[in-house]
Amino acid sequence: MSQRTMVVDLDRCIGCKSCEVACKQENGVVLGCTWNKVLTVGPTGTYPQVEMYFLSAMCQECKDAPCVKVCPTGASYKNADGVILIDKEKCIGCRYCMMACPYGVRTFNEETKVVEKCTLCTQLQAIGEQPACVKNCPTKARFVGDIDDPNSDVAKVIQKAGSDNVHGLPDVGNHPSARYILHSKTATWKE
Amino acid sequence: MKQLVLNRRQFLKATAVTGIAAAFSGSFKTGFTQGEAAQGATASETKIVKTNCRACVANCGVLAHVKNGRVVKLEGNPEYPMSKGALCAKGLAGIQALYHPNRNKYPMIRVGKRGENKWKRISWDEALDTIAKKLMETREKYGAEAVFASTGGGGNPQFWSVPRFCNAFDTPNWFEPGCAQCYLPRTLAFGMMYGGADTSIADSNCLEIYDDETPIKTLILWGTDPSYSCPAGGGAAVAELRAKGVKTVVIDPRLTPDAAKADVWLPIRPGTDVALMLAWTRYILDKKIYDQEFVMKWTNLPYLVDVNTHMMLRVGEHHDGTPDTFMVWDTKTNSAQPVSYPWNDRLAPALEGSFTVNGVECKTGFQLLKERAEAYTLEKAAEICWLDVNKIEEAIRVYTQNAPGGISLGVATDQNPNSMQAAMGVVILNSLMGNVEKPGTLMQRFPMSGVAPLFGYIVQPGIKLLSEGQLKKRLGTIEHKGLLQWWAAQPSAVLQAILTGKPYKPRVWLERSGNKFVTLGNSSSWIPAIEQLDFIVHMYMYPTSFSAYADILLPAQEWLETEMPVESCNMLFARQAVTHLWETMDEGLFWSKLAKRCADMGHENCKKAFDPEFMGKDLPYWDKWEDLLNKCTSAVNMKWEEYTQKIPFEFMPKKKWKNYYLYKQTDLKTGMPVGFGTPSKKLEIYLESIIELGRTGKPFTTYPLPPASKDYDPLPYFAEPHESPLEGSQLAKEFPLVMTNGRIPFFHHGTLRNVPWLREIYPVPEIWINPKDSVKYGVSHGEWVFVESQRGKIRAKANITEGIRPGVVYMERFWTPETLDTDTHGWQEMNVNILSKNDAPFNDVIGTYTLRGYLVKISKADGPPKGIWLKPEEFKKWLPEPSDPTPLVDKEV
Amino acid sequence: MSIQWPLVFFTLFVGLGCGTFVGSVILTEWYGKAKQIRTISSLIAIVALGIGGLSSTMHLGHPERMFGALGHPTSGIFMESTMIFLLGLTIIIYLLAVRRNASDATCKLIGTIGVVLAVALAFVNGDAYVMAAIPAWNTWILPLLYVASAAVMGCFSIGVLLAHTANYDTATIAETAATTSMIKRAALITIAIQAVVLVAYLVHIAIAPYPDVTRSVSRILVGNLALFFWGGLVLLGLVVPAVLMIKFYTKNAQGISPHTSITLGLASVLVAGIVFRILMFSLGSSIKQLF
Ligand SMILES: Nc1nc2c(c(=O)[nH]1)N[C@H]1C(S)=C(S)[C@@H](COP(=O)(O)OP(=O)(O)OC[C@H]3O[C@@H](n4cnc5c(=O)[nH]c(N)nc54)[C@H](O)[C@@H]3O)O[C@H]1N2
Ligand SMILES: Nc1nc2c(c(=O)[nH]1)N[C@H]1C(S)=C(S)[C@@H](COP(=O)(O)OP(=O)(O)OC[C@H]3O[C@@H](n4cnc5c(=O)[nH]c(N)nc54)[C@H](O)[C@@H]3O)O[C@H]1N2
Ligand code: SF4
Ligand code: SF4
Ligand code: SF4
Ligand code: SF4
Ligand code: SF4
Ligand SMILES: [Mo]
Repeated sequence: MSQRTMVVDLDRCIGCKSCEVACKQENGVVLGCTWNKVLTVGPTGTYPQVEMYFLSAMCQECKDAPCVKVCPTGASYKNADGVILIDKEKCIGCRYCMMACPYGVRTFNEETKVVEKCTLCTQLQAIGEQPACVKNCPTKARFVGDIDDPNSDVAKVIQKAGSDNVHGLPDVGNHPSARYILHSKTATWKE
Repeated sequence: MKQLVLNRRQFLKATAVTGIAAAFSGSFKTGFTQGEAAQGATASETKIVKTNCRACVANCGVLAHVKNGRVVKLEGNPEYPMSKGALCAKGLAGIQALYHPNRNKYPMIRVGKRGENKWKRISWDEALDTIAKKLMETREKYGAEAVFASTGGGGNPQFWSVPRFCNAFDTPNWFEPGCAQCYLPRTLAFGMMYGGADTSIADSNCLEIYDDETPIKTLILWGTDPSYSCPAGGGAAVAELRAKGVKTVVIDPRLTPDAAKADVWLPIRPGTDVALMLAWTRYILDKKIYDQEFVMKWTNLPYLVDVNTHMMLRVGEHHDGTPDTFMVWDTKTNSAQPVSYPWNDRLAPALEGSFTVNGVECKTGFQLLKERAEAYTLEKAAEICWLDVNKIEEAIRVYTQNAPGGISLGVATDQNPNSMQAAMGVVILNSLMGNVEKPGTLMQRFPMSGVAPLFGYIVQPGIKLLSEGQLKKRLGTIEHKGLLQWWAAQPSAVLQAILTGKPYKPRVWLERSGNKFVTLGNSSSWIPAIEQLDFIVHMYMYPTSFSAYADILLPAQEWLETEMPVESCNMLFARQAVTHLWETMDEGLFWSKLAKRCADMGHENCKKAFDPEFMGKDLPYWDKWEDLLNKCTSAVNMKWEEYTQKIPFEFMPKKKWKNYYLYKQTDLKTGMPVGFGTPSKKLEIYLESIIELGRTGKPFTTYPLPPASKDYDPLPYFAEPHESPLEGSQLAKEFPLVMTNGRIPFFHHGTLRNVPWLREIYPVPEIWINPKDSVKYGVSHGEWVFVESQRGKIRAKANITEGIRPGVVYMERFWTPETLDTDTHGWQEMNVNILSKNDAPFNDVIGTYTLRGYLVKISKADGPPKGIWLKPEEFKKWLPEPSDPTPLVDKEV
Repeated sequence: MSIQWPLVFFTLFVGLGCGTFVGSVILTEWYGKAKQIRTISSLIAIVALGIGGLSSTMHLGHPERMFGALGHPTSGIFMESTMIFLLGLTIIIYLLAVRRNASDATCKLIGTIGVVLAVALAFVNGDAYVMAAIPAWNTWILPLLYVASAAVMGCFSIGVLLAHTANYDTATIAETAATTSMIKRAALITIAIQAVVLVAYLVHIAIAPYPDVTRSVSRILVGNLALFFWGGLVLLGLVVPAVLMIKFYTKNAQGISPHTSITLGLASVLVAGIVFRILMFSLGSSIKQLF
């Protein structure tokens, strides 16, 4: 089985948020909607003993995606690569999927009245290109690939980072596949 | 539908008189170009044009996707050696800036009262004629010096266009809000002490950090945050170095991304950097961990200085190409001995000590430096700078124990009156450790192609056009002669001259940049001056707060409309005009057209500017932009057209270009080592030549100017910020917090506040407040607060964070285009420069005023300022309205 | 999560409809009492379900694409809509049977099928929110609360109908009194059950994984939701209706007529029903709300 997903190296990420704008440009994401947001975690601790890192938030490409399970119309679905997508023609805008997503990374487009989210830029990957945010990231902190394929970019960076430094968002049975690399030298991972 | 088919003339008529931000009400919505596109858009073809961004001082490589003449997508160009295919948020937002519905589209003339915002469209001809006439009249009545101009900082690629025009017009008065407050302290200190480039990453220097193979081991980011000031290039390079294990120290009051990732973070009290530098210096000298050989042979520290005159002892005439011969104290013979360049192996000079030479008390430069640093123990620095002693020591150790490396100095220290001294301090700290021109160090003099010779700018300032008599009238420069390096006047002196009429009254202001209220210190102080001016021209891409006070508005081109060669490392690129909209003009062309008008009206000096013979090696003023482009690319033996076909290309193979140890190489003319670009060819740590600068203007003038009131100091000294928070300060009782600024990655100075994608991310300015202070002053996270200094009061949104020290607050500049048409004209609500300080004390050498490190207080506010937009949806009104290219206007004018 | 008003009214009216129908069938068919309310209560149940159903479509961005749901019978929305439809259909059949004077056994059978469907619907209404993503909702107690809320609303709604239709002849006064006291008892029991479930729910919130201030007991008891909890749920949902019920038709009930008292009681539990749903949405933060 293949599971395409994103890995973000938070040791590298400098919180410049150009990935947010790259995503907006590539995907025509409307004002007020977000498919990708860079959050500042921290500063934690007490000045001047503080830590801070930037968490790039986007769909975690859950293996057992609750958003798909609750979708009444099949608008939300998993494609052959394991990417969760939304068929905008089928979406009735009930937003149950937004409730079901443990991370709140889906967004409701008030103009088209359907739910949207990161597509891993499937349209670009289909023509052999990297997703917009990956390609544009100044610090090359973002990677996309099949995490089940040991030869993929994502599998390799994770392998290199070592399991102690690879983190995922909390799993409530949905098995998020996206991964974050963060060494404790940069900051301690906050669950 | 009928509106859509209005022809061009009808459309223009229909919009004859309009408010400055008329597009708010949608009156520009159906531009004729859109109508035409709707009819003619059948063939669709996307081409990709290689160009370069200019939404900030970097020039990142861009691939512009153009479909049917319209820009539809921007991507980074992976070939660009600094940004390597990335663009930052500002660069990506280029489309929204280009097609902004509120672009300045045509020249406009004011028809209502000043500030009333009533405008009428005029032709370029009319605009140029009107301006030229006004300039000539003013010159006739009051002298050319009554006309002054100003420009924007690094953002404007045609920076030197403004001084060039002023020199041609024979007015000495132009200024820039950066300059003494930005970069000049560094270019001056590095220029005079080293003769090479400074170490500003944000200004695309520190070329060593872009090389994958650099052996650099440690990087000190002193008052700079590449993550935010140049994310796509420098920020990325620094991230790469960290990933490779390079150690970093960050000296910054604010917890920036770079600070958070640093090995040591020194959150220094704003404005106290020189004290810390002197402490580092003292430690390094004391512990003798400096590079002894290098300091001895390649700096001027062993040279003897007469303690009364502060001048170095020298013997013998210098002849062409060789420097003066200086004296050292030879410990073998216990006598002063001349040491001819480059070195004399028979001597054993003393580095330290006081000696009597022919009855005169002398000390070595080293001795003087040591004495200067003597008071600054680590403990003392910790006390002054609000730092931890152990952390300071740890930072110094990281720096001194991991060679090679270097200190990159940012803009922070340029923005207080201790500016020049801080830049000198960094040259010293780099030099003491021998971090100069070795592989892995930041001070380098790699060769340049010559296509953009002056800090990467293509227009030359033509300084010889300005007459000697006029230069002497330059406001503020006699006292602060460091300004001569950039040939600029001092903004505060210009302001005072307008207000007092002394020594004479400037009357006409030509301004070409964004929002001066947002970038000049104590901006409200300019209002009474503006009210007294006869005539104001504003040239920019869209209306800003400043436009409301102007008499004529001129439409400048966005970066996607302009052309110029761009150099990065050993490669050449081209900014190419991807489209052209409305009647915008490249300002590099505008100034030449204005000069032409003046020449035609009988201005002798302007005529000279068009005379190839007089201009010599410098290109005379151009009729066509291409003339200048061709001149630039002639440095690589090409016409512009051929050049644009070839880019990108290496003007020199990388190996050859990375020309380390230039100072050691043999100068073919003299047979001696090239040395450094200073009079002594040594690193002039003891900056004797600054004394001469203050007394005469040398080396920047060929004729003597009257001396400054006091000699400049050849060694760095620390000056406590004028508005001090320390005990005993009366002011601190009322204004207890130290304010500072620093970049955010979404805006460039005053620009882009009208771009939906960016305002969505950062809609209003934050003020960072430590939790302890938030309790003390009763404000909570996310709440609106008043921020107040002696000079004014604004609002900001509280960000309560442990990322800043108690007693310090941080905020960046802001204005709101959405309130342009209100009484505030968008600059009075949340503009941190209403609080900053533009009066004395100034930096003695350069005239720097205080943008960072002054005192403020905060209190809870009842809410956001009136009329500002907070929600993403509100910015919809500014979504781009793409339109088809229009023919260039230059041919018509 | 922001308060989804269409869903608040959807579940409120569906709950009211279910409660009313179940109450009516139990009273009239199972216990053979107050048969005069069969028609009106069925009609009210249908109308409530209708309003609820309509209200839910207000929540949809594209109600016109609703038929797409037919292909996905396991989804919450599909189950809810199907069950509303089935329940509505059953009630209509029941009504027809009543009109046509079908046999008691037939009416009882149809009614009972309706009861099963209605209880299930009330449960499913709450069950749709049980999801691992939202810790405060991720418990079986939540659908139980929906059922309890429907039951309480049902008791009061039947009480009101009865008060308006009861026959106070001397001949039937005893019978009416018996019916009334049954309702009284039922109401008090359901209120008690609701109280217990509510406490259980608080316990769930206290021990739910991924604790967060947005869904903490302290936010409910003393934080910015305290007014909703104490005022809405406890006072209007439990105390007021209980007191009103105790006094309902009590000999020494003074100053307040039975009509008024039962009507106030219904209003009170309806408001409490709304408040409960508001509270639920207010607590409905995801494990991590990243945007
Ligand atoms: N309080 C406070 N004040 C500050 C600072 C601070 O940190 N704090 N920073 C200071 C510094 S470092 C500087 S450099 C100054 C900058 O202050 P200014 O120089 O006044 O800034 P802008 O005018 O916004 O910058 C010039 C703008 O020109 C635009 N531009 C680009 N190309 C062209 C062109 O071809 N023609 C024209 N006409 N315009 C073009 C760009 O958008 C660019 O942003 O502000 C200073 N002011
Ligand atoms: N996004 C963006 N990029 C820009 C610009 C912009 O406006 N926006 N402007 C361009 C220009 S013209 C310039 S000059 C460069 C500047 O680029 P940088 O030199 O990197 O400058 P800043 O971010 O202004 O300041 C650097 C840091 O200094 C810290 N600081 C403040 N006060 C002090 C102090 O007293 N001492 C020390 N040691 N640190 C202090 C601030 O917190 C800030 O993080 O950026 C360029 N790039
Ligand atoms: S573009 Fe890259 S470095 Fe910038 S915020 Fe996004 S992930 Fe981080
Ligand atoms: S909003 Fe659209 S995608 Fe989400 S659950 Fe409803 S129908 Fe499916
Ligand atoms: S992260 Fe959310 S949207 Fe993405 S697959 Fe998981 S549940 Fe669905
Ligand atoms: S992969 Fe594509 S859709 Fe997803 S965040 Fe990146 S740019 Fe946006
Ligand atoms: S750093 Fe950003 S704004 Fe500056 S040139 Fe590069 S892409 Fe453009
Ligand atoms: Mo600057």
